[in-house]
Amino acid sequence: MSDDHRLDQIEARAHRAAADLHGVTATRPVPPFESDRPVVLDPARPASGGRNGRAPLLAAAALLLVALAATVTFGLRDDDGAGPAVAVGDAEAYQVVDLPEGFTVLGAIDAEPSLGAGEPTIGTADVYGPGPDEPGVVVWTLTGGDDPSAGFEPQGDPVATIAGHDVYDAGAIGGPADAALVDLDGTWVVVAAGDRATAEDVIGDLVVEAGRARVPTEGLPPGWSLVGTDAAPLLWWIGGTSPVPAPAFGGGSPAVRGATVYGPSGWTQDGTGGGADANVTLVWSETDGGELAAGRRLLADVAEVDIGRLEGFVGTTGRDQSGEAWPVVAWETDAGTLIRLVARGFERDEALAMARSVAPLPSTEFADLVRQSQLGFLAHDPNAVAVGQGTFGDGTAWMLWARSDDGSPSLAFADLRVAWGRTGDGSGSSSTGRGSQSSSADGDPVLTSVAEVEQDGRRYAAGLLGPGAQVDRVVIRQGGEVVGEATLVGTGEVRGWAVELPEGAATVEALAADGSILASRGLSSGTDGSVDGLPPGSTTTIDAGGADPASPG
Amino acid sequence: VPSAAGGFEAFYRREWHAVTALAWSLTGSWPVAEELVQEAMADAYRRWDHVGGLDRPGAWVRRAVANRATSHHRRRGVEHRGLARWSARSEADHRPDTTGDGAIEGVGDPVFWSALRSLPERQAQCLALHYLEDRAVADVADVLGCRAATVKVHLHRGRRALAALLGDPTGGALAEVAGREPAPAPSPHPTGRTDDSPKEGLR
Repeated sequence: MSDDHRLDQIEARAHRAAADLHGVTATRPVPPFESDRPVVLDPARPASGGRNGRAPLLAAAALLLVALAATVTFGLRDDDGAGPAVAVGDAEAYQVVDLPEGFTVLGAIDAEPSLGAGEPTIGTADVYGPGPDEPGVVVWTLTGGDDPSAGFEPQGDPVATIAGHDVYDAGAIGGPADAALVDLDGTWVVVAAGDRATAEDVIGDLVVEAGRARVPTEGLPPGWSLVGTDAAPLLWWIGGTSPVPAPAFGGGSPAVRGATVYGPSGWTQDGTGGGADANVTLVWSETDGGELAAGRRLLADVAEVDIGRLEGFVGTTGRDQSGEAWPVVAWETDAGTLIRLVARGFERDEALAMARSVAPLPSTEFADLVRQSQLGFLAHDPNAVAVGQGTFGDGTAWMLWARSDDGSPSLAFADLRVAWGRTGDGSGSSSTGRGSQSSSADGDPVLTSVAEVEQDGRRYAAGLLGPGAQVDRVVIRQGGEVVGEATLVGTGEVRGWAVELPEGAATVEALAADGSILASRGLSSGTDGSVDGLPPGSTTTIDAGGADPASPG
Repeated sequence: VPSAAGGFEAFYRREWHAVTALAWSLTGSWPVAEELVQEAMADAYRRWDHVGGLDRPGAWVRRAVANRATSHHRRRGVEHRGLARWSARSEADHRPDTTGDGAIEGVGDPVFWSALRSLPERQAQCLALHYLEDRAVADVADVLGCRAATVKVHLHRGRRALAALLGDPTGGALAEVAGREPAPAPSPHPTGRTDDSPKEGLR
């Protein structure tokens, strides 16, 4: 019996059963309505829908869902000890409860829609097959702005030429194992299929329309169709790209709602790259099922698993350029949230055990983690000293650290962290700024290190003051006029300052108590690199007697 | 909600049978199904100023029932309240026990419904709404508050899972379904007490 015939039989049987159930129900008397009964809240209150739409209720609904999901699901764990706490309802954030020994949170990020806007920088994957749970082939068009290969430079000679297109081994460049990287006349496409024959058939039929590769219906095997799309397939590799996933979001992963990275406590990371031997990344995002379909084909050795009572799968990434591969567990909650746990440096069963311990994290706790992460508190850097923190005039929170490679205060550089902005598209914005490493012995003894940050069109600066420097005020001068005054923070040997910058080039000046200029330094204007009288980053130290700050000393 | 009470009463009577059928399909127990419907209707009644103004208040109640059905077997209290309430009604009306779990005999193809309830809950909800109410994908998505594409996925998976469960010529899958079927709802005891007697003992 064919599958189609069997499904037709099921359909007919279902409709007969439904009609019969209606018939039986119709014989039941309608009980009187009990208007005075106590109301029991359901685990996920229905949205309003219809007349008013959902948007006005989103915030309240989210809070309710978080509270109820936490209540219900923690209750489940107590009741039967089985299944993840994400079984019922949905939450704004999630956490891994059973972490490896010694692991702690290294970073957390909430993906505000404003931060994820824009075109995905690494491309979109379309999934074709008999159905969403049977992905036959994934066609992943790489888009990288000016870089058509999005950094997926082919290595070595083509392994084949199909329909006139050069085909490379995608696995050799860290992409999916057993997948083809195809040069479609300048459009680079990863094709992942279950077998070589299918891959060759698909590659031979690929067409590019509006910069995106697709397979025409006539090029698909009988019964196949487009069954899903993954807007950010690179997220399947996220655990290996960075311990803090912010860079992966900046280019546009609009569906991602949040992520948390765990690693060994005490591990030093700078928030921009590198990695420990082992880390665990938990990412949650919206999904319509396309991502799971893509993941099932893009990952290797995929096996279906139960995460509590939910369906999911565990797979393994292709080997990266260091030859490393790691397990990924993915599943979808009842409310349509895709949760991915990427466990670099762990075995599949270990990853699965961690996935099964995932539980909702109260939104307030997650927000606190995000803030700590943004401001650098989760970096666990033994060579960092907190100099001070505050809030700029525009409401942006900031934190100034003095960091050094060897723990020596005299060689520290300024590390300015500002919280993610909440306005603008945020794409490409940075939350951190580092000053040059500077020594008070052979550099500027007053303004020893200056860091600048530009975010959402706003610019900020902060810096360290040399030990012993008798600085009373730090001001920003523009066109000869003082246009801003920095906040001074720190005590004793480690002092610093922070200030929001005006538009255009400016200089920062350290003033003595009598108003004399101790040192002056040009700041970049942000976009064009021009400065107000001084080269960017140049430092001028001026004797207490005072001198023209614009004149190189 | 005095001003809207009349509208709610009509709504309650109009929707009760269909919503109860949905609740039964997801729980397999008349007492539980009726209790879930009462809870959902009570919730709707309390906020009738809002729910009654929706384009489709019936969708609101169905979603409320589906959500409650998801957790009903973990909230034994629902079952116990439903049984107690039903038992009291039954005794007062001197009606025979036709609404307890024994009533499953009155529903055609109980194996089909058992198989449906053995599926992941979201799949079961999608299939129940699709089959029972002949709802299109977009309608099911609207009721459940998810995307149409998500419903498609659940329908697709659910159908195939049902085919695997019900189409196994060896009966192995069906036996597995029977083994995974949640414990039957306890029968109403003449004194209102409930017990956990197996289904066979209630007939």
